[in-house]
Amino acid sequence: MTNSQKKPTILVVDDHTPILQALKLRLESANYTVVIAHDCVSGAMQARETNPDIAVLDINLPGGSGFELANRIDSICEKNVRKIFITASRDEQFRYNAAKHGAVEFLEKPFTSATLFDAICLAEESMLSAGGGAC
Amino acid sequence: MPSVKTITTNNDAMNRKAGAQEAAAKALFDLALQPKTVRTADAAVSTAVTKILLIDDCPLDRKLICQLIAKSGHSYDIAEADSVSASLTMVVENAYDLLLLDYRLPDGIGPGYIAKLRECANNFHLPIIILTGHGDEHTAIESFKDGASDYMPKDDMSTASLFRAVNNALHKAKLQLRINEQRREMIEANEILKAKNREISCFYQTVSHELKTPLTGAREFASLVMDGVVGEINEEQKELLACSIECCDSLKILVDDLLDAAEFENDGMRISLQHWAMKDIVEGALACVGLAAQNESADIRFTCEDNLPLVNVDKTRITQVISNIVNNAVKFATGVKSVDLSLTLNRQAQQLQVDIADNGPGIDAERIEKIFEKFYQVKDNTESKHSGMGLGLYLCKKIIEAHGGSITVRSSVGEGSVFTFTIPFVTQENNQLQPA
Repeated sequence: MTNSQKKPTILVVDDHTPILQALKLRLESANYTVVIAHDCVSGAMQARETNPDIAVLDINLPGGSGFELANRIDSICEKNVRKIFITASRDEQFRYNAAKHGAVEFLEKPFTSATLFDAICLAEESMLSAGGGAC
Repeated sequence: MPSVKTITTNNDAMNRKAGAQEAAAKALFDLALQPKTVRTADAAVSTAVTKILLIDDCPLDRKLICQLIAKSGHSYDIAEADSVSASLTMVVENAYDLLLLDYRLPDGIGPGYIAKLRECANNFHLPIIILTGHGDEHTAIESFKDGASDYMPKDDMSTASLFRAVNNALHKAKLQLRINEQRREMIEANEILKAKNREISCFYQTVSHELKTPLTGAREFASLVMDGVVGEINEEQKELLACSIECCDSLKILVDDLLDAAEFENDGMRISLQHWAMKDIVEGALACVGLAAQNESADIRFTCEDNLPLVNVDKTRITQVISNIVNNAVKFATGVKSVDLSLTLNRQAQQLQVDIADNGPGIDAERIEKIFEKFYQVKDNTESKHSGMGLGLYLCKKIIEAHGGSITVRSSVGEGSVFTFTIPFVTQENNQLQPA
């Protein structure tokens, strides 16, 4: 992504407040616009209001799973929102489901900031190759 | 020695037989549909008097057989039936321990009759001894094929032979019932274990989630501060935060190892195979341990043969093995630390071999035998500063074995250790996947 292009808006949804705060700080430090939510319902509301480019979604969320939220985001947003799933669980089925939901990356907690930014880069590259992200 | 004569059939008898066969078949069908209770070995054992049903159309034969049985001096409760159809009702209504069945009855016993009779009795191991006056081999073979417990020619029957046959058949049936009960108990126990395993699996998932979630927050906050995201910090503060992050990473490895070991005990090692170049995996693993090695001022060298065949492995798991061994090498070495890795081909064994040599303190013969055991820790006064649960090498062994390879170690105290593991490479014969 060139400097002239606007940095993507990233929706981060995680029910663990410290993680949410840390990820927000980390991503904002790299000049991304970050919106956060603690659960599925508020995540869907934020997606409707902010129309994010990338969604970083925890899988175990109050009110539904991250996969269900991904489906809601797909039905709410007109654009193709790139998804990155994050989880502290070791369930291999989650990895499979993430791939099924077209995730650009699946990160197992705890992950390093480098791993997170690699995933964000992948999402941005995917947006670029699709013509700037607006679908 | 008493003997009995068999009756012969005539035309009238044959005609009666055809009609009776039809009636018997219908009766069998109806009776098979009736609700049943499960018969157990204990039920058979608890019967004080052995209940026998004698099915024979000849009253004289029945009388003689009853006399033979009575002479044995044992208490048998003998009921009599003169036809198939009569016996069916009796079998359903009474829990007989054994049937003595004449092979030739007016209403006939066609193929599969013995099985149907047992089905009606709701006892699939009900002993049935076939009695006939036509003691040819063919009849015997057909009886056994049809599921008879034994076969007795009436002409040669004596109290002793009948008693022996009855006892043998009862004993065999009792054993069969015991086996069935034990099998059922094992199946039930297995189901309970499976359910427990599912619970344990669920528990591991929960533990993993609950431990790693706060760990993620702790690591990321330390990382944010160390990276200067929330303000500048000095070098000393950076070093302290780096230690904090390293602790988080160590804790993550411990949690993962513990859960891996638990899951392995529960479900076996789960691996996801793909074709990889082992060289890439080794280099990737070394990149992962690079920072730790750098902090420990370790010199890590890697040599590799060219044009090596691919391996069919779980990349994450093999990376885990290499990282674990290299991390141990760096952790335990003192002074100028060096780790030499080499990747070579053993074409004859169709394997790639990875050697990881360190210049650490070495392991003595007594300890080296236990080094791959679960929860075994190499500890002495000089090494006690290094903590761990003793799961790393145990998991390494399980991972390598799950790939069809082997892992060994040779060591000299004061000189260092060499860990060697092998992995089968992809050949035309075992090539089932496309390269990743």
